[in-house]
Amino acid sequence: MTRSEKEIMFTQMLDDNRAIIMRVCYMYATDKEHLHDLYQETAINLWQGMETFKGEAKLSTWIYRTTLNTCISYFRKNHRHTDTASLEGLMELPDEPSERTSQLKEMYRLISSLRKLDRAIILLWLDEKSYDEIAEITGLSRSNVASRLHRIKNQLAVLANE
Amino acid sequence: MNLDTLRQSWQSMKIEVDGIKEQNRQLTQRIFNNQAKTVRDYVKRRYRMLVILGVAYSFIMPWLCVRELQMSVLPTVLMSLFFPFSVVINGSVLYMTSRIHPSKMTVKEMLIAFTNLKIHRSRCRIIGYTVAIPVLIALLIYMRFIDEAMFYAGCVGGVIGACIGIYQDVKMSREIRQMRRSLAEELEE
Repeated sequence: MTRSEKEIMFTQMLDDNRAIIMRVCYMYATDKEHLHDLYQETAINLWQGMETFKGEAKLSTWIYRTTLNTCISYFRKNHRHTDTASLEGLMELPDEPSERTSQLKEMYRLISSLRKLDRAIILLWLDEKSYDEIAEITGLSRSNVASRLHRIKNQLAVLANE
Repeated sequence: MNLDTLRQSWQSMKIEVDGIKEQNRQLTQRIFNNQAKTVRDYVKRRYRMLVILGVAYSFIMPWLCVRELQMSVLPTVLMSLFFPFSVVINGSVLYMTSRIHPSKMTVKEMLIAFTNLKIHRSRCRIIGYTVAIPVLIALLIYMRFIDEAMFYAGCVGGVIGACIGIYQDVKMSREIRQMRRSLAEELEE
């Protein structure tokens, strides 16, 4: 593959999967600048990883894995930020009734209080990944994924009722 | 809140950032021109420079101590050993950072590798502060015979440095324990 073919493929891949990458980064970001940084870092990691991606996993699995790994290992260089605007207002649900929208926003808020690995698992489940796919991405066993998911759902239900 | 019901709406959710298309275009251009680097790239570059400087000073220091500064045996040996030691320490951090591959590892592997890296970096700092103490003492002894004013200034600096070093050691030890605890909680089944 020539370099320009690789560039075209990468640009297309980023455009096609931007929604997924944004949803994952949003889950781990604390403010707008952090979200921007995570998105950038993920894009660079995807570009650098393209050389070694041989199609042994599905493309979406690979993108999820890279994005999640980027988010959980990101170390902010500079803690003084000029644009620490909140993330509220970035989430849009164009075709949903307002009650469902507020419930989803509330769910997002609760999920962001979970531990990093639990956040990854629930995010993948919400994106309708199978238990096997979640196990492949997270590196946990299938049974571990199932038991953790059960615990996470109970935890979210308790948090929602508080 | 019914998670199973909300799950159906999940994929219709969009995270809209103003000007994202233009930002994306600029970002991809910077990536293709090799101008965009990850934080990991910056960390690797920094530690690579420290290794290179450490190697250079490992050769320069013995000559400098003996020929130019005419130091006695003990400070010469301590100064000469400090830099190869720093090469090993910084080299180990560089090695661990290079082994982190976000696109190849599973999430669990990444959590473990990243936490181990942070713990190792903190431990290296603690060791570095501790190992620097005999070197500084040797330098102070050397200064004592060169210039008394410099010696007293060095002592004041040494006390301040020791206080900062002890504070950093305690803080980092606490952080290491916290990181281990967090990792154990994350991986708890």
